[in-house]
Amino acid sequence: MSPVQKPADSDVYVRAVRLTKWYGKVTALSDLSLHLEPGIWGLLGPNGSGKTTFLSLVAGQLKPSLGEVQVAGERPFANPNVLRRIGLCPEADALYDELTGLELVSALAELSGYPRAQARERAAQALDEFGLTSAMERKSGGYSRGMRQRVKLAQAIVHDPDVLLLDEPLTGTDPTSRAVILESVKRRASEGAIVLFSTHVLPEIEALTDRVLLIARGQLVAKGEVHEIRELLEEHPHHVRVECDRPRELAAALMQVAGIVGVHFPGDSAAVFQTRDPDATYAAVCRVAVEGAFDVHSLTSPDASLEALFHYLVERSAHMAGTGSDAAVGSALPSPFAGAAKTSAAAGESSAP
Amino acid sequence: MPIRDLGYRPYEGERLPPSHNMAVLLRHGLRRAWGSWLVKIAAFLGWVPTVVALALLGLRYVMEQRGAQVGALDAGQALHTLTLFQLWPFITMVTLGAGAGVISRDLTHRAFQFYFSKPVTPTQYLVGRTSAVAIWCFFLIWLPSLITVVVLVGTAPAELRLERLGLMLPATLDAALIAAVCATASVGISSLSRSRAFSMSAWLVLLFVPHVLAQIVFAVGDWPWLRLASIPALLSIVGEALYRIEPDSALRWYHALPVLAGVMAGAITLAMNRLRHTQVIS
Repeated sequence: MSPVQKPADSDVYVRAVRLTKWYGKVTALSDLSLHLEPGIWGLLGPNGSGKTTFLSLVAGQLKPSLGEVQVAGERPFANPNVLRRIGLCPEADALYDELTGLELVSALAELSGYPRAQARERAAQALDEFGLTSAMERKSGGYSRGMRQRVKLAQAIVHDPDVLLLDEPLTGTDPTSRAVILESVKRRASEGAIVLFSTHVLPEIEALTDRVLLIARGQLVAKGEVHEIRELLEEHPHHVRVECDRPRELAAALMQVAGIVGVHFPGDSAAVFQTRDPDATYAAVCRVAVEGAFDVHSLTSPDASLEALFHYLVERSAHMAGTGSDAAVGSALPSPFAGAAKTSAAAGESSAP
Repeated sequence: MPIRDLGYRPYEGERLPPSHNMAVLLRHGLRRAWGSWLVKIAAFLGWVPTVVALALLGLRYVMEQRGAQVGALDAGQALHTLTLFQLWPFITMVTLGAGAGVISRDLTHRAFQFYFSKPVTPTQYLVGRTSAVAIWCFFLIWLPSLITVVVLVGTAPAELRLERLGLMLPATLDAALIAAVCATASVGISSLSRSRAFSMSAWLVLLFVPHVLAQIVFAVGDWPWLRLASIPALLSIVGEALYRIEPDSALRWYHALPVLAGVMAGAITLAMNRLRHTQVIS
């Protein structure tokens, strides 16, 4: 048996071309095309949107029904050359209860090609990285949910993968563990790995990366940096909330500002402006506040967050599903193959599992 | 604390080729098999027939030394009988505990999402898993046979010693055949369902029901051909041929071997089909 070297990292990318997967009559993923380069990508979407199916396709655990997915130029399904470059932390809570964390991770490291001694050493390091130093010799049947999650993470990184696929990796973890996990993910991405991070905890993905993939109803709804996606959604005005002493007077003074298309008053001390030009609106609010001697308490943009974007895009996807406008919207926007900075938006009519 | 401060460095050494995976899965499978209480019971109680056989041989030897009249010992028949005593209770227990639930257990534990996200092929997985069961079965038959042959040689007159030593070859072949057939068939059966209870029950039914029916039919109607449906009967027929024992029916080893080969081929096909079409859905 001649040993083989780990492939170079420089050629790592994930590419999907019209990737489609269905289970019987249920379409889990439909016509998804994208190109991912190294870095952290937040994979967002409601339950049943196709996130896990997408990760499983990239991990080579599912065979596409149509289209193809490539990792570093090769199809991952049943392809050992690619699989040794992929680390998967699955969502399902599944470990052998009779094995210790160290035994399980060592065995899986060996299956990635490490000699026995190195596999054990690396497994210990990986478990140590996730704070399981004192528990690694205990049988995993006695682990808490958070500990089991960290064992799954350890086996995902134990072989230094170029592509790290994390399906809800923060489930069941405490704040300290979350910080450790996020630190590890950041470090691996900084070393040139592609990290696909699926989660429902939006503030944490926001702290981790500003590059997101949003999947809804089995289709890629958006891809790119959060603010760029936000800017593309021009038909959906930004909201600027101003809390001050005389909100109605402030609104009257601002209604002539270009870009502002509406205003409403959620209370006696706040006005929420709808604008297509948030920068001009911020400047105008400041100018008018000074000129009119308004007592401004706060100036915020409630829908600039990832969470707001997430909800908006998912609602938009649901609204457009089956309207026949999907193709038009998808083609009018930049191609997802144009790179990480580009964004796309589309809505699907297929149903999720 | 950043991991680099803990001494971590990316591994830049050699990595073994995927063919190494079979050995890893075999080792893992041996340990997992030992985790089954059925295997543990078989491993301990499996020595009882050997101890009894050795006691009988010792008694016979003492009687011979004291000049008592004892009949000639058919060493081949003794070994074959011992093998059957090992096969029925203990190989059944090992295959039930370690073989007949192995794939269904991995399916219910969702273990494939770990195995098949590593560079493990279905063939490597199947060979690793089946080999672990086969090794347990082999040693559970071969070791008692080996010890018995040693005692048979030690207690034999000088002119018979070489002949009795020659029994190691059929004993080894018989143990290997039983291990290969029982391990392959039980692992194949385990791929039938996600339910361990179902696959283990199916294995028990496959082992016992055709055999009981065949024995009844043979006893009542003197028609031996239904034995072709019984795996233990087929193994026994081949074992008799290996030990050069006169068969009690028209069935011969050349009838039994093709059927056993078919059983193995069918089990492998069944399991491979299941594994190749298994798409891991979390």
